[in-house]
Amino acid sequence: MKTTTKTKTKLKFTSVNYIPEHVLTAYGLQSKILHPLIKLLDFRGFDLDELSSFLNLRSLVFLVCGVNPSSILSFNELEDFLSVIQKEFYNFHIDGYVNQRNMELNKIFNIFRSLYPQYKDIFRSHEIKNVDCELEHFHNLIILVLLLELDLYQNHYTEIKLRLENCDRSEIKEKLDLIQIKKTELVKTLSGGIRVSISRNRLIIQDRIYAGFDTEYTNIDGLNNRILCYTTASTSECILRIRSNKIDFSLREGNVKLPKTADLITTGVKLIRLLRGKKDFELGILKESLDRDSTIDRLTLFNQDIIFKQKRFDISKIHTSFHDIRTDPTQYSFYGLIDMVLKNQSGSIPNTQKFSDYTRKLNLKPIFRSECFLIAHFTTADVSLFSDFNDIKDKLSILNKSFLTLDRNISYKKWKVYLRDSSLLSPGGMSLKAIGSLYPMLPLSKVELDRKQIKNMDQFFDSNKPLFIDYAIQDAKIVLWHSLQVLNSHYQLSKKYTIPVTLSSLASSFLSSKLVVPEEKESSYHPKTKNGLISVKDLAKLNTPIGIELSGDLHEYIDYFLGSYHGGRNESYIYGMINGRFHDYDLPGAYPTAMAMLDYPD
Amino acid sequence: MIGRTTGEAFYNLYQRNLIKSYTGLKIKFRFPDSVQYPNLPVRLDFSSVIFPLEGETFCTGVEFYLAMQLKCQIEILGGVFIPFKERTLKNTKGSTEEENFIESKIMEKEIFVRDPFFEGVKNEIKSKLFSEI
Repeated sequence: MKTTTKTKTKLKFTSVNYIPEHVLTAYGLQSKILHPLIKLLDFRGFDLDELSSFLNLRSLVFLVCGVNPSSILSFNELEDFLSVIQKEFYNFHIDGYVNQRNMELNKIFNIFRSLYPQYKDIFRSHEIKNVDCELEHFHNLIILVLLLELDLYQNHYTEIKLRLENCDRSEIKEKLDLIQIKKTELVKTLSGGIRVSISRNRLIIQDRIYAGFDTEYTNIDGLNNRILCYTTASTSECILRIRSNKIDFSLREGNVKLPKTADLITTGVKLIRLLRGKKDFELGILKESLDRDSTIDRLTLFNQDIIFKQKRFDISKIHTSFHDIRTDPTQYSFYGLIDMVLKNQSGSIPNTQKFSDYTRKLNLKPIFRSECFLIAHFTTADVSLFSDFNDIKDKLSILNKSFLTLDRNISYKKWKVYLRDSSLLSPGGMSLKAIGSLYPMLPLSKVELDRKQIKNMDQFFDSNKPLFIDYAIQDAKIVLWHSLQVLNSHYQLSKKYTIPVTLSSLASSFLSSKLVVPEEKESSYHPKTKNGLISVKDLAKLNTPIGIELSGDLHEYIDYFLGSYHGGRNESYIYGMINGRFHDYDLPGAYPTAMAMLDYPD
Repeated sequence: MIGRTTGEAFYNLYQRNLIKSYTGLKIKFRFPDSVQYPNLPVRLDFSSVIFPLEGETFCTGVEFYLAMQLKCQIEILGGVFIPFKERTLKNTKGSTEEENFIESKIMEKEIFVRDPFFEGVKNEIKSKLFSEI
């Protein structure tokens, strides 16, 4: 029986894909233009069109300082090249303003005109926002070209260093350190969004535990309560998140204009990531293999991140626990509760091993995160009974009389803990019984107790322990199951995969996603004025000298609309006491009906 | 933007398009004495709104349209007219344009009113809409 083995090229850049000569010629790229080191890279996943335009730009930058882009530069030549470009480059950041004449005479800005002859006058535009965006991103583009060169040389010297004897290494190390310093300096001058895109790890594996908890207590003297027990119901899942490779081009809040150089910047970032071993292509392979796995669901989030998770939660796999703490109420503490939940779920988080195997096969190094969501109904009672309440209360926020975590989570061991209240996640603060009845097909109906049993919980505990345990556990189960439904709804309505703080925040994000004008995908819930500086919603800012001047015509429009709002009309045709029959006509849902008739403004 | 003009000139210019627009106007008006229930609201103080036969107020395009139907004499002092984006709607039952418009909008809303939980979400959205005004 014959067996065939494939030999792998033992080079620094493994699985080399040379671009064939005839393809290069077809794309107008002579092989001599390509840097010998670039030729060694594996360009899988790259589009030749985008690659050729970037290499064309690179050649133009090299031509500015008269260096042949096809030769390998020595370290000194590289330093000269960098200093020439940085000297030649008209850096408006240093001046603090844009001098039109200086800029037009600048050799490097002439590259923009050669690349985009149709937009050669863009820097003369009277729209400051356009000039600002294009200037800043062209600056970013040139920095990316320089960074690419430095990365290439760093890789090259690292390769050489490995081959050298110990005694010669120190000189190379010194050079490598200098390159690293240069790189750090250059990266600092990039815009935030691009800086993040270059370095971030796009693969995250998240372990998540969701736990509902509830306490039962009895009233002692009309003022104080004594805790009897606490119960937990928990489930977990593992999520594999692949962050979008979309670059954030916004320079400041609300500015989402795409620059003309966006494609070139994207290619530059991709090339640098490739050199830094970020394995974007392998992430594509990972996506494909996970898509083929029938046990895993794929969700696309609002920011184009992709998450892979188990199909659905199974109510039969919810882990419940009951803790009688009548003898020692101090056992009920916040951190003790987390420990208990973690202990219940330890080793049983589904898919963790599966996702790790997938990433290990492709030699990917994900970031590992751990999140724990604790949910109770009307947290005021359950949280204030914690024995360590005084220690943790500063870490909690209060919203609608409930304790929860808002902007910041609570760190405990490797876990980020979020506290949620299911009363805020139900329409109109429904009772637990009403929430349980939302799911009639599931065994979630609340165990009914009579008035006497509710009033004397401790007696009920002693007299009928099994029923008491059922009653206590069912509450935690309802809370957990409802929160999981809200989690799914949050994804369906606003493409976010987390338990929201309130149902209003869910409604708000749904509304904002629906208010995006289809033709103008970038517009948001808070429509900006013409020049994008002042939001319609921010009336306090609008009615200031700055707001009036910067808001275009908005300040003139807004008064007419605000003045026209008078509220609903109530009319009583007879005053005083009425004897006999009278009719009360009401138009339920008049406002939503009228508002449903509204359309996008032209 | 709309400058000072007569109500009739403005009405003749836009007519039924006023219903499908975002219009805010500042007007002086006088209803005929025969009108029993005038429709233009005038703010009296911090808490009262009255509907007099004569006065000066801010109103929307729809209110202006109805007032013109009631033969009100109107002088426009200023305002804004922003029409809706034109959208083709499928006429299913041969109903009028407005009826069909409401129907289709209600249908759009009904999409997510399928289970009790979403019923709750819908109500939250409604109240959210009010609070955002």
